[in-house]
Amino acid sequence: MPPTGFRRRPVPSVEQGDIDLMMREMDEAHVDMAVIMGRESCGTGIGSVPNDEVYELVNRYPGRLLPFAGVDPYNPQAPKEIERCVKEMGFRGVSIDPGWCEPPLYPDDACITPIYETVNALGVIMVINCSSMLGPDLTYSNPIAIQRVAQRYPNMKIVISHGSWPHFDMAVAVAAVCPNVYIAPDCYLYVENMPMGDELVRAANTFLKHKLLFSTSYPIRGFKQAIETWSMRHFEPEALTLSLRDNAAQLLGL
Amino acid sequence: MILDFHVRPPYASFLQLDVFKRWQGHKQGPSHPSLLETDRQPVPSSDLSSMDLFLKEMDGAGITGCVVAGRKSPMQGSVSNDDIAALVQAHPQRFIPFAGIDPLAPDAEAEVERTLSDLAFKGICIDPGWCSTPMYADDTRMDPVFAACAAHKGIALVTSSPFHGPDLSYADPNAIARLARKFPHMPIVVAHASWPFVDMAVAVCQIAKNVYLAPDCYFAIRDMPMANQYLFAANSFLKYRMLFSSSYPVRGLKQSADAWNNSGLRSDVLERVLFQNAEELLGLKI
Repeated sequence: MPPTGFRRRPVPSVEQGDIDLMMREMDEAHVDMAVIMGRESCGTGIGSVPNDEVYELVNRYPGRLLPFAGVDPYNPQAPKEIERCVKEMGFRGVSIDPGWCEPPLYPDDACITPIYETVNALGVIMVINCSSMLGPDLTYSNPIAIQRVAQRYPNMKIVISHGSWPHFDMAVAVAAVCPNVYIAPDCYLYVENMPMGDELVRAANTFLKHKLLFSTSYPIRGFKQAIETWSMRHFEPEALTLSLRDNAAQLLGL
Repeated sequence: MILDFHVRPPYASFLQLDVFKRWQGHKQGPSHPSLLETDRQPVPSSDLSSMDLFLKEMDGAGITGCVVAGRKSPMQGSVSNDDIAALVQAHPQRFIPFAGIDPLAPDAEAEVERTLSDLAFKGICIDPGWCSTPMYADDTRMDPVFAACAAHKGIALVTSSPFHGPDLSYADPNAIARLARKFPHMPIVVAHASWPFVDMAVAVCQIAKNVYLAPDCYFAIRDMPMANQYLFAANSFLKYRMLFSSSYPVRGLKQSADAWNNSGLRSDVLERVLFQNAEELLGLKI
């Protein structure tokens, strides 16, 4: 069992493949809004979602879901696809999985530059998936590569999805010196006793207070369980509220 | 009794350093405090550029001696080493001089010789990540400067933190480990203690007997990620190799000393860290 599978409670909407049930689970967990993260990956066993389906889903539940486009850095059409998603469909951001490309990429690889240039020019949010699970070895989750991107595009907001776990020591330092870097550690914070999690919470109680974002990474966990165990971490009350709601609202301009 | 291993007093050319421009008159805004702003209390001597107040703040914090850390950085400003000599001459019991050296300056070696030999400074300060070409601590271009320091039995104060250099790799203490092997008889004090690489920094001390950690605000600021690892190490094998420092004016003397006093260091360790380790390293013990 990977660390992220520890004590996972069943999620009926996942098991039944029922999107309406997922929305009811959101309601029950008091989740007002969710970012729908697209994915386009040429990596084996990773898979892709057409961005048009993300758009279709978002429109099915107006006011609840926010679309982010998935693009593959090896797809030469990626910049065009980003332009289409943002300009024609109102997408709020773009997501990439550098470590799951084939061959795998570090986040500061030159071949991702056209994507960064486009996202930066459009002023939307760049999500970089980065953890031990992405890439053939742990060097791919070292956030120094993300720091270099953040410094090259100081006005582009970057969210490190999965928080570069286990390198939370470095991730908080990168966020400390780069005002445009946000951390969304999802399961690497809400899974009980996850190593290094406390270091991130300490940062969230001080200098990272306005840059930590809650996310479930659904279907890894259901909404209710993720919020429950996230809230059990030793957040100060203000830091907890900011992480669950206000930081994301501010970043997304809601 | 406390010895502070890293201050830039509000004196003469020190006031031209970026670190003073950054912190003088600093007021915390209503939101979004940065890492170094966390709970920072105002520092009157810095805000008012007053040495008289600084001496009072030393007394108020129970700090009997301070290492005056020079700086020669094309990026962050420079202090005249003669100003440091003048300050020490005025207060020989209070201040211990360390020369600021720009290792890429043509006269770097000569300045090390002059300050350590002619002016009897105790050591040199180097900011590898803030040179005209940012460098790692073990960059061979700095070898002549460290060799001159070692030849004069000087101590090398080397800065290492996420702010010192273009990216976090410059805070990786592996470079310190390699420097320590190159100059095994030269004591190396790592200012800012290579935060956030705390696990590696304490391990570098384990394998290199000439390396000391001065984690300053990265130990003093509440809830600092990874800081517990400094604490665990200090309460065990790092007892003789951790040094108190405030990094003034980044943080005030009293606030720093209070934080260290309440950090969970065992009382026997606290004595070593606040005073005796520095006293022995600086050869002040009679």
